[in-house]
Amino acid sequence: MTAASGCILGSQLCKRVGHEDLKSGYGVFQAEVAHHLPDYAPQTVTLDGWDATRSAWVSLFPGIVWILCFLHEVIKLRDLCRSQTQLWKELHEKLWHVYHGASKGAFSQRLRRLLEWAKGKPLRDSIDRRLKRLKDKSPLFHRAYDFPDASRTSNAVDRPMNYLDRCLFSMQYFHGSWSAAVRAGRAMALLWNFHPFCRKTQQQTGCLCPFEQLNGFRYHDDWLRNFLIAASLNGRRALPQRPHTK
Amino acid sequence: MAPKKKRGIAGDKTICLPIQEGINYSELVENRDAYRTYLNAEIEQHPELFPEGIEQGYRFHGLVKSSRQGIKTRRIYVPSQKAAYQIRPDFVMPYMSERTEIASKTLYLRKHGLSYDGIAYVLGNTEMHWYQLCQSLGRVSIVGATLKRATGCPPISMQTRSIPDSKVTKPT
Repeated sequence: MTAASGCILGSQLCKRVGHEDLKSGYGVFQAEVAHHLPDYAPQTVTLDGWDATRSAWVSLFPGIVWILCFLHEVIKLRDLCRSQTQLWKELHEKLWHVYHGASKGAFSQRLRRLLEWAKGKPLRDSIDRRLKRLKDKSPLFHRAYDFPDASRTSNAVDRPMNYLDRCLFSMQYFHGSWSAAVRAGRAMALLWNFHPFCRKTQQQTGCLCPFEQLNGFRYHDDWLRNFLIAASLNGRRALPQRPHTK
Repeated sequence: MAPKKKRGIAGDKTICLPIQEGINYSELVENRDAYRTYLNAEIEQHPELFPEGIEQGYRFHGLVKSSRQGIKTRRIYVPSQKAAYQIRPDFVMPYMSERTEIASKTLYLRKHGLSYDGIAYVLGNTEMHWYQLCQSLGRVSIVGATLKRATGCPPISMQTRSIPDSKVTKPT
């Protein structure tokens, strides 16, 4: 799955999680975007650290800079500290303090302070190893500072993934052919992009759906009609060069 | 014998025409001149919804009546593309399978994970009807339908910058 700015931009099933399968999966997104916006060249991508995902992105978009998701490291440590509530409370605060470092230098300094603090604590081996790995991964987190607008965590993709997980669980996953499963996944992704926000969110943001948040306009006040209009020609017309006139 | 032309994806030649508030569609579709005026205004306002080259001209290419919904739709021929397109109003679903008032409730329930059987229980019809309606959405290009303004998309407004987040698709 590929997501940006609250919308799902790519959704494809893969038979395995190796390089070739993921490349063909993300290749669907690449093909759609190359047709729709031929000048598009993504500069950064935030990943969860899976090697095959990284290599797939690098081969599909040469020159792209990948950033490691900090949240994944926090979650891994949280899982290791499940039985040590007090330790997790302290560690949680310190980890996010490191994350909020305003520059590469501040990030590294805060990380060093965290590791010093950890040295004085009787930590389990697994937690200690995981913390030391943070130091090795530090250059991967540093990359985000070169791109101030880049995402530093994969929250943007985790939120829609939660929704897809719940939907798939409630329907007990897929039942038909591979192509039907692919189409179902795409339909879910599109429903996410165009679903109406709850009334409270609509009042607060003034937006009807994620589509409006991304584009800054809507075609119609009814969410489904808005979707159908946006999906005119199945969305396969390349964007006109001149700006939108509305 | 010429090779058989490969069949395109269903819906690729269907334009969804926005119908503004207060417009009587059944009267509009019957009045050729009024329809052309309305269509031209929509092309001017939303060129991204219409096929490339439509600005160079088009001609009407027939009138079709749907047996499912009982509404008429026009077809146009775009000479620059050498292709005919159906123009479907925005208040009916693709294939005229359902009106949007009902379909929006279906898809809303579906978005919240209700099974097709549950939807059929609430809204009538068969679960296969609702299944096909939802599945038909999967033909649409996700990027094409979602990104409508290159300048409005934060990643692209930063001069060919994009910050998509990715995650390995879960094997099922």
